[in-house]
Parts: sequence; structure tokens; C-alpha cells
Amino acid sequence: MHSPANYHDYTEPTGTTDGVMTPPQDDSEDLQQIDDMTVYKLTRELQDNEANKRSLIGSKLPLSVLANEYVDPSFKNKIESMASNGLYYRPIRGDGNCAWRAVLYGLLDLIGSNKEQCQLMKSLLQNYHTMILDEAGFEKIAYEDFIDSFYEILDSLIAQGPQYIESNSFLENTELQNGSIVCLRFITSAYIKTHSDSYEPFLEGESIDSYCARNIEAFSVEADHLSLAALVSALAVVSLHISYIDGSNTESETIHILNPDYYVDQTDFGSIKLLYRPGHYDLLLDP
Amino acid sequence: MSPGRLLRELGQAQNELPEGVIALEVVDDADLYHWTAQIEGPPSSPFENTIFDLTITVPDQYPIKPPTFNFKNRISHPNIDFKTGDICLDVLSDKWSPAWTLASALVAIRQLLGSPEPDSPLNVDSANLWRSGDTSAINALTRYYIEKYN
Repeated sequence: MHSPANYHDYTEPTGTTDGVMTPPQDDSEDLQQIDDMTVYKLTRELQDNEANKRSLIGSKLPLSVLANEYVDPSFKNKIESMASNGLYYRPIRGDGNCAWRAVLYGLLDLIGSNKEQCQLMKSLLQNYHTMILDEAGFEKIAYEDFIDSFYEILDSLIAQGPQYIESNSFLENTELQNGSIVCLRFITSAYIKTHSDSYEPFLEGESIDSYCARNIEAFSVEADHLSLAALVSALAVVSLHISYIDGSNTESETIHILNPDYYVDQTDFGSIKLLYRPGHYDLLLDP
Repeated sequence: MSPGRLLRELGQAQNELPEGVIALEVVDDADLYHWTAQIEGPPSSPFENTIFDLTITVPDQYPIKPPTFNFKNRISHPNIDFKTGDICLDVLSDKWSPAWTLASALVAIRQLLGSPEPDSPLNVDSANLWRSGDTSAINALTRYYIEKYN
């Protein structure tokens, strides 16, 4: 972290010794005064500023477009091999919510052309997922706005059909999307809290509450593998199919499939496909 | 975010407050983003039997971003800035969750009064004192500043 914003009362170095700049005394004091809170805030600001330049959910593009961005053959070859299967992708904004946003869009895309499935998702949110939130001790006052954001999207999807999620009133609606992402984050956290025996062994001594607050409920914190596994089980209506692309020597991508612990009311909307490159998730789509 | 959440929190605060939170209200009815609160020092701590005033500034993006709490009067505590009243508490920064409310955050601040974390200090002198474990010195200094400033 090295930002000029830290040096609000920075003064130019005053002396040089053999051409080497000597930093003024108060500069090092300044550095010491930068507490964790300030570092955290500045890092966030920087990330936000970078991320705001990109669309929340980009247009559907052939994977060959992405392959062309790479020179490194280990990445390029894997993406090209996937592209040859006719897959498309949607770039998702890298704001720390990419996996969550990709799953949100992927879910809406799966059910969007089927009004009954949209209705079913709505009633599951209302009954099943809300029940998990209550059971995990979430306060209604704290979650109802976020559930409402998700309802609102589902209502528009029912009223307008699948073109709704292609329209700017959805694609550029930060508030509705982000509200629904918090909803997904909350039900994931609630699922972990109500199934703590299954998750505690993976947390390396951190408490469930701390892990959930820091990694799942906190907005703009990237999803790790455990969060995604829990998200799938919390939703209990889809599986996740993740293609991992990295700099390894293998010819093709590595695929991880995450299935829920169970499907609620035998409701299986299908599989959401994600593309993972180190540090970022995008959504994969069939032609 | 819509102001609905803050309006509901205000409504809830008018009906019931968690234990140890004495008051939680907006400064001006027309402005939901500036609040004041009072909490009671936790029992069996040097802060007991004292009421502390706080100001709360709520950001536009609340509850996605955390509110800022400040003690109004000077207080000697390892995690509270002596001059500004800023509070160093993980749940108000990197462990903030939109599942928290203003009321539940106040409960966490009250707990912090009774259980400081001297390893992440905003007040080094107070942190050193707490680390020394010298209970009578901690009590004396804490009470001295409470009498002086509160």
C-alpha cells in the first residue's frame, strides 16, 4: 500500500547525502501513524475506483475473445480448448463480488424463461431461505431489505421474461444487484452457522462467526472455495460447475463440480458454470 | 441504500433497546444519517455506573459500509483515541457485516469497554497499563478521566 493520499502533510526531502535522498523525520512518523483502519479504507477506495470503470455484468462474448487477451500459452491454450466447445462468457466486474454476481446472474439465466421456476425461487426465498436466516439468528430488520431486492428482480423477471436480465434496468442496477448479492451472502453465512459441524474443521481455528463476518457477509470480499460450496448448499436448487484456468502445464482446464448437500423439495434448476482465473470469476454460458 | 432500513432501525430504537444501550436517536428528524447514542459502562469494569455519549455518522451506503461511532467525551481505553473518540473495533471495519445494526454495534462497543484489546491500541499509554495487569492503576486512571471529562 503506497498512496500519495497517505502523505497529507508530506514535506519535500530536505537533505541529500552522496546523492541519496534522506527522508525527512516526520515522514517516517507519518507512516507509523497509518493505522490498520486507514490502510483498510484506502485499499477499499483504490479497489472501488478501479472496479467502477467496468460493467457489473458485461456482454456475452465468445471465449475466443478472452483467449486473444493472453500471450502466455498455458492460459491461452486452455481457454482456446474451451472455446472450441462453443462456450461463451460474460465478464463480471472484479470488485470482490464477482463470484457472487456470477452466481446471481447464472441463477436468473437458468430460471428466467420459466415463470413457474421464478415463482418457485421466490417462494423458497420467502419460506426456506428465510427460515435458515432466522435459525442462524439473523435479525429480520437486517436482512429484509436484501431479500426484497432479490424479490424485486424475480418479480420483474416474471413480468418481463428473460429479456429483463438483458436490459439496462437490470444490468446497470447496482442497488438491486448488490442487495441480492448481500442476500446470497447472508443465506450462505446462515447455512454455515446452522451446519457448523461440517465447516468448523476447515476454518483453521477461526470461529464460525468471525469467518462468516470477514469472508462471507462483508461486501466486496472475494468468495473462497468454502464459501462457494456453502452457497450451493444454502441455495439448494443448483450445482456449480467451475472451470479453473491457471499457469500450469496441463492442456485443459481443471473442473470442480459443487453439488448441494440436498436439493430442497427436489428442486434442481440445473448447473451454473463459472470460469476461474487466479483471483477472479466470470460466468460461462452455453451458446 | 434506501432509507427504509434506517427508518426501521429508528422505529425499533423507539420501542426497545438492547441491554446497556440507554438511548439511540437521530440528531434531527429530517436527517437519518446523524445519530446520537448513550451506553452504560459494563458492570465489573472500571467503566461501570457511568453513561457514555456517542455520535454516529451513517454513510450513504449503509449497511454495506459500516457507520462511524465516536465517543463524545475523552475516555481512557486502549482501543479508543483519547483526542478524537475514534474506536478501533474489528466489527466496525474489516469484520463489519451488513447483518449488524446500529443497536447491535453499540452492544459490541459496550463489550469492548469491558474487554479491551491492548494489542491493537489507539491509546498506547492506556494499552500499556492494561497489559501490565495492574488493576488498581487501571481503575484509578480510568475513573480519573471519567470524573474529569464525563
